[in-house]
Amino acid sequence: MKSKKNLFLCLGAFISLISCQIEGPDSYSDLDVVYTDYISEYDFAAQATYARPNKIVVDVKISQGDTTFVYMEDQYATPIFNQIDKNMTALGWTKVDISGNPDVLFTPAFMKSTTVFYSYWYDWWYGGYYPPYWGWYYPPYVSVSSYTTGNLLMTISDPSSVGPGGVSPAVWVASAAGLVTWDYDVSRVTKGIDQAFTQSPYLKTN
Amino acid sequence: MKKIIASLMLLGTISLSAQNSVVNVAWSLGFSTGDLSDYISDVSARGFSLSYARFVKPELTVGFSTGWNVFHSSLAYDTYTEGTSSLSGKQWRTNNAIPILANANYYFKKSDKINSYAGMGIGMVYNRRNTDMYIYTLEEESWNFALQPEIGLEYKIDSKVALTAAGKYYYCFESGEIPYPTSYFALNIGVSFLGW
Repeated sequence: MKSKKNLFLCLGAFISLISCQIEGPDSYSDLDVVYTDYISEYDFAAQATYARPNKIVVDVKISQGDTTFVYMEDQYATPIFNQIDKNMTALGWTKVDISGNPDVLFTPAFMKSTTVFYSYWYDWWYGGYYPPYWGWYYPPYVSVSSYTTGNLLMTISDPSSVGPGGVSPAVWVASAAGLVTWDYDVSRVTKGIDQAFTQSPYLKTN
Repeated sequence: MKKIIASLMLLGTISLSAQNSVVNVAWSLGFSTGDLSDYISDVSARGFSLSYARFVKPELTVGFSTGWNVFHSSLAYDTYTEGTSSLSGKQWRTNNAIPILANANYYFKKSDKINSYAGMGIGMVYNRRNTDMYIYTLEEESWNFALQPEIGLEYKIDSKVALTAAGKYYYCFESGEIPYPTSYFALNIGVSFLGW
């Protein structure tokens, strides 16, 4: 009987080693990711100028047939534009007005999405490690949580190339995504912009 | 998780009723090899094993074994490129391996104090692999046919209890969603309860 008890003690000790929480992200920024893709046949080096809008659309509202764009506040949009222009200039591009017949159009957009989910203890019934601890959890452990993700989308399109529907297809797309925090730390976004250009050296012009 | 633990406890309870048998529980230190090492190179201290064996001859045991080895690695911020697509971020990788094997061990020379043995296991290893980035996880599962050669030592404290050290190599053949063999070496330090 004593050996049996010792066996369970040893087994419990070893299992508890496994049960510890494994290492994961330490902060929200640990989950930030940057994705880029491009059309390999497109000759970026042959282009020289770009134009971009002065505002970033964050939402579209449609009311009684009227469409209204919601724009990002300047305190956040300005550092984002500055970082885009800085990187484009470093790669040899020249910014021009939309009326200046630009080679490409640079279009940023920001999307925010909140996901609400229920979390609950996965099994209301529990089997005890030793009898007679069998029964039901009551009340069931249910909680409601949510998280919000933010995603800065950037595209480069060539207005001289018009595809189906009169839309210029994107020749470069970038997405800097992360979990949105209460302090709206824009430096995480500007770091994402830098990374998008760092991993896209093919954007360099002559 | 609790169901798995309860099942393992039940296995232990069943084995305790047998006579002339050995029940072993051990802490298992895992070292990934081959393709698993390319995926996760960190040594795993999260592991345990549980085995039951019965002497069918004075120098030969047959039985079964199971356990759990968790391999985990946190990768620094990096860029992963495939074709024209590039993705940058931190990544967390986890591989859970749960072997379920039939075993036979041969004792070279039985003594009252120290015994050594070599053996072979054959069975299946369940592998579940998670690659985490951003808020998503890529989960892959496989049941791998496995061979498990083993050598070990046991040091008897008294007639009922022995301390054990064993080296086991789990060679898992390619199967399921994980597109290459997932093999690892385990160093098990534990306790055997003898003569139940």
